[in-house]
Amino acid sequence: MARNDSLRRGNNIEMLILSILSTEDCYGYQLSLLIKDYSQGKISLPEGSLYPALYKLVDNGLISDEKRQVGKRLTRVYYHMEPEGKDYLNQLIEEYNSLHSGIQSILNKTKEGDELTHV
Amino acid sequence: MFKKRNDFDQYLKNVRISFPVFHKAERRFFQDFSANVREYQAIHPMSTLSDLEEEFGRPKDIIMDYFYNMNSSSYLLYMKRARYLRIITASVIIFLIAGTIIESYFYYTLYKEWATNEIKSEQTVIYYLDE
Repeated sequence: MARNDSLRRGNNIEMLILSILSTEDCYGYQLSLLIKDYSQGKISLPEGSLYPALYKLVDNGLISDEKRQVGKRLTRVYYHMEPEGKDYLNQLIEEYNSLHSGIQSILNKTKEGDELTHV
Repeated sequence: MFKKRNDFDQYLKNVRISFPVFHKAERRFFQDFSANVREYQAIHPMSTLSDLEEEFGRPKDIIMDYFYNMNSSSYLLYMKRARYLRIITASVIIFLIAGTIIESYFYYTLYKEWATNEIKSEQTVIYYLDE
C-alpha cells in the first residue's frame, strides 16, 4: 500500500497558499493576512511556516516569484501560480477531502462505540 | 517616532541573532521576513516590541517554526555539515596535541643531549719547582 502523506502539516499549508494564489498574485505578507481574513481569524500562518512552504513550491516550479518595486524603498516578492500548481492544488484538495472523510468516519465510529459502552 | 523605528530594528535584530545557523536559505527567509515587518511598520508605525511579538511571534518561536517546516534535504545538509565540522575540529585538536607532545619530546632530547655533552671544566695546577 502506498504511503499516504495527507496527514503532513506541510500539505495543508501548501493547499491554502495555492488556493489563494489561484485567485490572484500575492506577496508574502498579503498571503498571511488573507489566510487570516478568509478563515475569519481561525487560521494564522506564521512566517516561519509560510516561507518554507513558498520556497518549496517555487523550487518545484509550481509557483513563480517576481520582485516588484513598491514606492522608493519597499520591494515586494509577488508569487504567481503556474499551471503545474493548479494540478497539484487539485490533487491536494482531493487528498484533503479523502483524509477529512476518513477522520470523520473514525470519529463517527468511536462516537457510536462510546454510546454503546455507555448504554 | 525615532524610538518606534528602533523597536522594529531591535525586533529584527533579535530574530537575526536567534538563528543557530545563517546560511543562504536563512538569509533568504530573513530578507522576506524583514520585508513583512517593514510592511507592517508602514501600516502601524507606532507599534512597540510587544506588538511585533504579538503580530509575528517571539523570535525563538519564529526560528523553531522555520526549522520545523524547512525542506528536509536542507536539514540533512545541516546535520552533515555539523558532523564534518565536528570531525574537522576534533582532527585539529588532536593534531595540535600531538604536535605539542612531539615538540616537547624534541626539546627534551635536545636538553638531555646538552646535559650529557656538557663541557666539564677542569682545573690544572702547574707547580714550578725551584732549582
